[in-house]
Amino acid sequence: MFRSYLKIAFRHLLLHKTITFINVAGLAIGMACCILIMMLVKDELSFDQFHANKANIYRVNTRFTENGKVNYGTSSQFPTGPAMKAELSDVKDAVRLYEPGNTLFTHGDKKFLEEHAAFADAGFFKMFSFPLLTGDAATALKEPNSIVITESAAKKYFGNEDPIGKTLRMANETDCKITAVAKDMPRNTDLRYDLLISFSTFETGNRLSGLWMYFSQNFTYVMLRDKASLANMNKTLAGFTDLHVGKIAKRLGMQFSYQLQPLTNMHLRPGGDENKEDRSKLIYIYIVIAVFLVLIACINFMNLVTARASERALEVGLRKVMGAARRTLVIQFLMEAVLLSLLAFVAALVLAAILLPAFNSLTDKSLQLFSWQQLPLLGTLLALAVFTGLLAGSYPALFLSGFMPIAILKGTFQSLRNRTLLRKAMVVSQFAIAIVLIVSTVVVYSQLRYWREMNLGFDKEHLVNIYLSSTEDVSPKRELLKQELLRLPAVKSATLSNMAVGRFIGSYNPVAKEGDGDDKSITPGIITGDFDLVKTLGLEIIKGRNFAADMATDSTDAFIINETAARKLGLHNPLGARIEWRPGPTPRKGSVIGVVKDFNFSTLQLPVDAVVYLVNPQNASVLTVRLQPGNLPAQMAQINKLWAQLIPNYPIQFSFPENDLSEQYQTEYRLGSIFGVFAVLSIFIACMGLFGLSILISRQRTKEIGIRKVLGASVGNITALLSRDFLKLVFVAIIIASPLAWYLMNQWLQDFTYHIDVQWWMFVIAGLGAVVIAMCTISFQSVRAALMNPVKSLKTE
Amino acid sequence: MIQLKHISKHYPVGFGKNEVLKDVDLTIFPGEFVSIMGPSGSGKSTLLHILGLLEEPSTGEYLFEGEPVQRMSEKKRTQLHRGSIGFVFQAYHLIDELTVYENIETPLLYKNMPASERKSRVADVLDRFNMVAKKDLFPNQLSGGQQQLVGIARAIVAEPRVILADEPTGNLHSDQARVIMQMFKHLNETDKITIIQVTHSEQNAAFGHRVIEIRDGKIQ
Repeated sequence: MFRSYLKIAFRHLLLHKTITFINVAGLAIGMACCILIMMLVKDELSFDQFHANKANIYRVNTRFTENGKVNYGTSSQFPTGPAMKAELSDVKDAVRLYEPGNTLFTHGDKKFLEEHAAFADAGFFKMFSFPLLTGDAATALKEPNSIVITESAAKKYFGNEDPIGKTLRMANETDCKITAVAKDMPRNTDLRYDLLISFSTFETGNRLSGLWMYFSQNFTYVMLRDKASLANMNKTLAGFTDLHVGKIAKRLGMQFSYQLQPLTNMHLRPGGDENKEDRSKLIYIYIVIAVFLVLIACINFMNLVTARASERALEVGLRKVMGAARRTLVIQFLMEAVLLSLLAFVAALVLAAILLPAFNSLTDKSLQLFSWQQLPLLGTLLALAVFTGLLAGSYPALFLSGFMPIAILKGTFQSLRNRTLLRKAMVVSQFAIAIVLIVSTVVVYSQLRYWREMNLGFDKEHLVNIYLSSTEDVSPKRELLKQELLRLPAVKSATLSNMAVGRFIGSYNPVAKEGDGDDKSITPGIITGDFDLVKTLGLEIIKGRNFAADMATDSTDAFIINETAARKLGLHNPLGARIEWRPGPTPRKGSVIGVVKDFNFSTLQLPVDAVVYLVNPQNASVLTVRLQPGNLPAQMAQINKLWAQLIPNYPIQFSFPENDLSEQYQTEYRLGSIFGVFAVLSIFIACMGLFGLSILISRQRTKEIGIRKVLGASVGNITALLSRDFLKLVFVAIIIASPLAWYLMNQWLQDFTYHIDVQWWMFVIAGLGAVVIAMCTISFQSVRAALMNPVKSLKTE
Repeated sequence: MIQLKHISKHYPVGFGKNEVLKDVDLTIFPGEFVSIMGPSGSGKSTLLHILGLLEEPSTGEYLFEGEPVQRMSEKKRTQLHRGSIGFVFQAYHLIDELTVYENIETPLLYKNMPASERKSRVADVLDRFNMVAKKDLFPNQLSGGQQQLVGIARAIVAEPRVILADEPTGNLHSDQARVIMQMFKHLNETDKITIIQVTHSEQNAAFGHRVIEIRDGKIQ
């Protein structure tokens, strides 16, 4: 009996290959997407959740309020950590992590620029659950000039030798002794380092480490005592802040406070709990999309199975007449549908495995499908597959088998008509969602293009930023390097400054009109550079003049400011106005000699900030070079060669501002790709629903089609007749989707300072796309129905 | 064997009702070959469906082998379909996805018969109907007459006591029809199977022992 069911099930599947394929593929794709997305979500939610002390660890964030504007920071001052540990009784331990940026490490002839290197306080390995392979967690980072490296870093520098006790030279200046080797840190942590140097190495003899208003890439983590209450902690923090930072903050005209952010929130709120950036929103969107895709796929699967089951009514009737009990029929249909859904589940696994590498590179992850961690997810989906199969099979099983066989055999069986309304509603909602996704994709890509083509106020093409480390190897040779570079034919101009255009400005200090109190000062970006900055970047001077090397005062008491700075300082007639720059106790006073047009020196997601530019190349950390248009790799090879000749001990570091800028909207780019993929998939799945409906309806109208053909209707007439109804549904979907998409994308765009408006043509594109794809889907079935020999369709009556 | 007492059947039509069978009394004895004749819409198919437990009479009493059918449970009726009643349809109604062999085997599956016995029974029937060579073909590879032979083979394989045939030759030409009718006659005479057929054709009716004329829902 069982075998007979299996046999009939397989023959059915083979006989209708196209429909079987579409049905299995639809469910499989839905499930494969769900698997991938949920793996991603799970990974995102797992960041830094593995620390044994996670409930008690907080990052010390900062909040500045200046002129009513609130800014949040995640870095804190160097003295904050030790002071908190010493003065606040609830703080059990504090660990600082200072990331100096790319740093050169050498061992013999092995030389690497390390990006993931940081100075860490001694308590690091006790606070965070990163196991050590060798060495003592309590003392490894205690002594100055100690360094802990990971297994893979050890391999990189020392091969198979035991690294303990050996030394690594940092920045060609400091020798550090390896005291411990740590296991490679997992990928799901934001505290991923390859090398950790004891903080005392940095602190020794460094005046910066005592400053209470100096912010660098220094992050402070505190571990509270088990019984400590956060409310109580916040109260004592207020007093602590007042004691250490109150005075200086007041002098700068700002309010300053610390905020503790739980370690476990850090990954999804990277800018702090109150900051705007909230990745959990994206996580919710992912979950909604995953659940939506899999549910729609399941519902479509059920619809197709039931639509096809009505063909089998005759078989059910016959089997009943031959003595099949209802129970055996129920088992037969359930088994058949479950078989099909299990097939889809297996196909989904295969599909997910095939797509995983591409998905990993799209999302910048290294997820693994076949690991025990994914068991709950895969188990849930397997259960869902079985459930879907059971549900899909339950309609033919329970509904058809419950019929009096004669109704089926006589053909008076009319149960399917009233179900089409539900199916139509399904098709409309599926298409509506697909259209929303298409519009979203179009909007995201248009926004990306807008950013790419936006006038930034400087010419971003053919620029190279060469980074100058402050080490003895590099600093003294800055000017020489610039002069030598200018002699290369490929180099048009070059400038030394503290600004890496496209990335950052090196410092922010108070600036005010001469004589104004501190409370009236603003904190613009301060560009300290040489005379060639305006020329090299291609900035536009709209008032006054550029600095001139032959004007002696230009190097001592002249400023160029941007439009925003003029406005913020309240300078209606900026030329000649006296302002003062207050980087420390002794201000530098001078006149404004020129105003440059605003230019986007960092991110496009924020409005242009105030900038003050003065001549002082002493602290230059960046050499910005404008190249002649030409063969970039050859030009860079020349520059590399020159660097290697002049500064053989230190590797060159450079970046292209054009790339730096586009990297800033990686998130949006990723969002665009993900929307695009989901748009395609949702269209596919919506078409499945449409396909099921068109099979059902053309089958119901078989007789009508036959009669019309006998009466002289052409294939075209019939196809049009059948297609018209479906296109109506797609139009309804467009009408529903358009305002929704408009609202959602407008919300998204509002987050950006420079954004496009949602245009009417975007809806036209999405609508046309949906209509064309729907037409193709329907015509497959409509044309088939129209081509059918009328004699055949009428004979069955 | 079969006894109908005051059987009526009506369907609701709008606010009124459409009476198909009116107060039918009928007795059929074991081993009889009965033909039911009548014009379209006279109620003969409905009568056959009631006899086959496919439809319920609106009023009246139906005794199958002395047992009142109205009081039978769904289970008991299924039992009757499995063992006592075989059906032959005008449109053959074979299962398209099954071969000739499997189609014939299906009723035996529902009787939970062991595989070896099933095999010998089906082989037996195939042999009798001269269809051994065609056992692995699918219904759509057969002619109408051959399909109907399979239909009859399927109806008798479970060794029912009654075969109900609804215009079994309606879709066949006269040569094929004669073969089918002779098969019925043979089954009736050698296997003592009671046969009740609905037919339009005087010729076919002549194969039976008795003709029941039905007109406007009443037996004449």
